[in-house]
Amino acid sequence: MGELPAASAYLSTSAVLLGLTLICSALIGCAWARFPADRDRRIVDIDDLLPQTQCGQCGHPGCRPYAEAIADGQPINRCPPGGQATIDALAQLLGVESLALDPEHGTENPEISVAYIREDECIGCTKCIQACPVDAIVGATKLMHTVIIDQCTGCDLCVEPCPVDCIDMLPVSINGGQGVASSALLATSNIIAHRHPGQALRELP
Amino acid sequence: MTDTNSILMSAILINNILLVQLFGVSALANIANRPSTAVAMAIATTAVITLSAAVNHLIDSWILVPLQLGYLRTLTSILVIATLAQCGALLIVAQRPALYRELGGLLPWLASNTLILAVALQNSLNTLTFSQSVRSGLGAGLGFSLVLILFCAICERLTAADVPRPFRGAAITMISAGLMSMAFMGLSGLV
Repeated sequence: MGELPAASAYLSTSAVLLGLTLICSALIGCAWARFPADRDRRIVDIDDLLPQTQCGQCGHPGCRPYAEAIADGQPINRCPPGGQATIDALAQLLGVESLALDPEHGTENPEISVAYIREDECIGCTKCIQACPVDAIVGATKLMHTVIIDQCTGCDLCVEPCPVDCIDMLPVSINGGQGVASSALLATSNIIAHRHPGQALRELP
Repeated sequence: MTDTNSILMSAILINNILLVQLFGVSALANIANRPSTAVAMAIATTAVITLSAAVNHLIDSWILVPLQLGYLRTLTSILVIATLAQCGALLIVAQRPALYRELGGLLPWLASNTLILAVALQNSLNTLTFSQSVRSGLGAGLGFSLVLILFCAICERLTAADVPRPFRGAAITMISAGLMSMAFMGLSGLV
């Protein structure tokens, strides 16, 4: 049996450990105050509810900038592609009252549509390609342009720039009705996954 | 081991902390799942290792040795490393939140793995001076980064390769890591 350490050893041990713990806790506290991680998690949660059409109708150049603006206090009712469902979900997430969609920023369109380029009239100018926020149009200068339907989010930003006005927004159906594309093709598409999460799996025949 | 450049060379290549001394090998398994985050993980780990080597040396030489509290070294090192890891992680979250999400469990790994602790404890075991400790920490970090980035490149090749079914997943990762380790061990006697 060895001797017990001197009393001063107990004292210095506890002093060092306690002091170090306090200093480290203070440092971590300062770091949390200086770099609040909560705001970024909030932005991610808000962004996950937005439809990811990147259409710009809310006034911001995409869904993530709008999510950051909402986290900073902007009204939540500016997203037409998301519609009332998104506004309600955002209201629930942020703990505020739900609002009606702001008519200044557009109206909700219950029909999903994707862009379709009438290839006979396309002149290959690439203006629609530059306008598309999700890069859903394939093509190059003076070559045929075409829309990849399972990437298109239906934001219709490509319709305006087209100089020969050859882009139509055609409705798609999820349930195998009179739409432009088959349900199977759209099962994993951008538009179904983001605008109607869960519906692709639930309602497709 | 006292020449300054040979400490650095030794820490990076010959006594590579990950492949030769086999500390922190869980990083390789982590990277095999997320090859695109290798550079970020390497930078974060190197920063934490170097800072922790410096701070742990200071605590060791100013507090622990004068008060003859050498037995507290492991505990205080762990405290310091956890603090630095947390601060580093918060910095990354603030500047690059998307990167942080992609990195997955970076903070728990940084705070709890043996690699950083081994550097700090070995520095005090070899009674290095402050500048030698920092250099050794930097060398360990650089060696770790080298191995991580090389291993990430190998993993990217493996995803396109035709790996036989019994070997897919963890098996081929371990075999690759083992082969890399043998290659690095072949460098002993370089300096």
